[in-house]
Amino acid sequence: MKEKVAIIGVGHTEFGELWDRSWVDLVEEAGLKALEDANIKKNDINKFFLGNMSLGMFGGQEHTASKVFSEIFNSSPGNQVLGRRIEGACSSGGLALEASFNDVLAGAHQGEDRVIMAGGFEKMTDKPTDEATKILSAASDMGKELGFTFPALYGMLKDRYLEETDAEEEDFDYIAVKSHKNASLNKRAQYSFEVSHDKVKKSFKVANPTKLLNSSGIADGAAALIMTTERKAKKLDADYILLEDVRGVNDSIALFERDDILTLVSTKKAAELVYESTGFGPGDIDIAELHDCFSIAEALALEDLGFYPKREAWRWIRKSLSDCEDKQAPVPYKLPNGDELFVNTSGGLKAKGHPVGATGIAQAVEVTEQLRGNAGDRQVEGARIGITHNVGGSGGTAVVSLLRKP
Amino acid sequence: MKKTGPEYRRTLGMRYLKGRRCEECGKIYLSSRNFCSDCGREGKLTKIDLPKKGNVYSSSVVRKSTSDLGLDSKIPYSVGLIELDDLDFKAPGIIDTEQRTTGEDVEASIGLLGISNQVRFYTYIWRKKHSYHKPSPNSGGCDFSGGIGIVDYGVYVPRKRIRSEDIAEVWGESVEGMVKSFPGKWEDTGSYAMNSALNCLENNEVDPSDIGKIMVGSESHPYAVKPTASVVAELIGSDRQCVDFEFACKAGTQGIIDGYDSVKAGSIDYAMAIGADSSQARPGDALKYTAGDGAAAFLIGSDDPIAVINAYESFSSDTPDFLRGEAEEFPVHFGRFTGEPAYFKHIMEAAERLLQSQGTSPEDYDYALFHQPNTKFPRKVGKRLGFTKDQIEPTIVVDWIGNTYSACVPLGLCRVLDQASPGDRIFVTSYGSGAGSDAFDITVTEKINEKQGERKRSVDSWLGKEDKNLLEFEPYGKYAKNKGLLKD
Repeated sequence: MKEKVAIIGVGHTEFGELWDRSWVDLVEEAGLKALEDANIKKNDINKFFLGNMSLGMFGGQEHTASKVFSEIFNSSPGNQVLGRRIEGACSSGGLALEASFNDVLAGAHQGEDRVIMAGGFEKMTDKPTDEATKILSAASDMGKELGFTFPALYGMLKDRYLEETDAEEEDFDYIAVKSHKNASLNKRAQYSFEVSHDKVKKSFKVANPTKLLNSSGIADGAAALIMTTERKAKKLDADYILLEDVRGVNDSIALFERDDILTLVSTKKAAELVYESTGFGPGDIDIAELHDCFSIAEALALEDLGFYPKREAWRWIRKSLSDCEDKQAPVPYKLPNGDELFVNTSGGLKAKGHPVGATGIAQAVEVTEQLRGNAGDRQVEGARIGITHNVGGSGGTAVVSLLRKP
Repeated sequence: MKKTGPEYRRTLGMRYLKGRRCEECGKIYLSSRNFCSDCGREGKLTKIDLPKKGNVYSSSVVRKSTSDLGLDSKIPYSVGLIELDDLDFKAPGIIDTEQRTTGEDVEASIGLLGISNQVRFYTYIWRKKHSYHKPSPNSGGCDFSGGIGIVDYGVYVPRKRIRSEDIAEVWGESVEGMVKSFPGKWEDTGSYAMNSALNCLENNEVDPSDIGKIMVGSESHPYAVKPTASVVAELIGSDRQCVDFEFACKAGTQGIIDGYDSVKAGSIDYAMAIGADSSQARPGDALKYTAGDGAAAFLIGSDDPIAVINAYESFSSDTPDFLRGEAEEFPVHFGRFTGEPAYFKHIMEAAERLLQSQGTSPEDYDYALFHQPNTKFPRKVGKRLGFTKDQIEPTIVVDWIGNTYSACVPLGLCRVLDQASPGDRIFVTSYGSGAGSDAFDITVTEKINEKQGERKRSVDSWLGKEDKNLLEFEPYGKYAKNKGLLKD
């Protein structure tokens, strides 16, 4: 039988404006927590992959792995480890997850039980907001020369959605209300508080129809997880979760090159590959950490991942979330078949925070904790299967993974 | 980060809507590239000019921005994807509006995108499509043709207007009944010059590479060192002589003389002479009521001109009436000279020289066009020379847009050409401080009827005498910001 990949430990820093900590401090904290959680030592690690969008521009460092080695792994005599940084804009973390997953499988193919650390981090608040925004625009193409900001790109997606459907602009504001509600139960979240629908609706129009409270903020943070073969996980007697598959797919970087901008083809294809290889589909999924950098992105993801028909998500958002202010978190979506789907129990990018390179890993940390049953106040009872969905830019890259309780 | 030359050159195609089409699969690209992403090396990419008309597929109004080109100073501004007419392609672009335009028809003209390291990046900007008043072509006429003269003309005047009352209120003065043009947020002298050139080439088959010389006269050139003409030439696809002129308000007519002489000498087939200005005035100067914005371009040649230049005369002297020192932001009046010894003396002198050399008198002309620094001077100098109201009034542009400096007489001449009949004779005299005047004797040919019928928008529409509903009157604050009087 094909060897499976197991996640045996997770680590996650607080997300937010962490002025007193450097990027190295954050990577160290997440990494050491993950090692501790996995109950292994740092010299048990064979390789590490770090997702990070732009340490070069944010922190002036372009030799990331060596720096991490010096700070974290070098203290162990005889340690042999090779790390590398992986970039793919906001999906850098997801790409590190994908690389780690395949490295474990490559090792298994050669009869090795490699232990891999998959991490992700971004230290964004050292720069003023204007500069940080400019650095983030490096995730887009051509349009930025013409004044297209990220809120504007997603604003155009939302604008087109409003043009093609009967959705109202404020339907999408419920997504932010729900995410904040969930985040209020997550101490690691950057915005661990509730917001009212009215407040989201009246918030500043950053790039109409994108409002400030539809948007994820700028944050610092890191997340890490340890993965190995299921065989090794069992040997270690770990409380593990199976990472069934991770798939990443690219699409054109610019929106104008796509026929239908309301379909993120990268998300759709990555999900199809994952569903096909694992044999699970949207109907089997209990929880999902989706890439809600802007509210419209969560709506499109729900469609592209197959939970709702195309251009129908808004109806279900209305049905599921319009009374969420008065409900107990975490608040689920209602699916057409009557089931419930819990999305972004962590608070999502919107409320948990979006230190871009950390996000893809942090999503997997949240799902792992939910499936292990130790997500605390926001625990979804009986969750067995979860997915993560991590997007780079406005869909130029998407990574989808499926995790399962063994 | 500051932009550099290579980035400037490589983004020209995107900014000027010049793309590539794969001959194999038909796929369109908005960039200069060598291979088709579908066909790879099998595909053959050819250059295409993308349509300048389309429909807004999706849009967003940006209220927080940051860019290397200083777009943060332009908020709120709109961006969108434009589905181009007759082409399966969506182009990204800026839409000159602060409202949602999704689903609306738009057309593109050149605008100033932004500035990096002193270099101005121009791009096509999308604007709502309108229908405009067109000239009413005259019928009949005479069989006059041939000679060297104006083959075609084009104009550009921004839509923004400010009333003298709104300026006077800020300065505690009382000036009523005047209106002038000023730049929109995506406009400057360079974009005016470029748009007037495009407008000039819109209704003829002249190959831009046959234009041997492009001249831009202005006293608000975007660069002190680097010709505006080179920017115009790159856009329209000409790569021969480029030169800028500066001679206060007569730098525009200098190009007409130079073009005429070059064609006459046989060294080139066509010349393009442009007068363009975003007229400068110290904020408190009396000129604040009149310094306007606009441009006009003429294609000069001998191939079937619509108006023949019979002769010209010039007069100049060292008269420091109005000037601007090197690297000074605003021009100054040196004192006392402005009216009598400057404007009137130079115009009269050049005009009389021309009348004498041509052996003509004022009644031989149908139109008499003089430089228009304000509403009074042209009418006064014309009368003094013996011209009548009927000859002068059809040439007036200052009433609607103010004094557009180097563009003033060129715009007036375009206005005349919009209405003239074959055989009509036009008397033109410009004036530039410092000081000098150029006078022209021009005769309209039978070709004018056809040309008037082809034009898509009348000069009166550009001026705002017609299509008044398209003008955008703004308060002083917006005027001051767009004119660069408020520093970030």
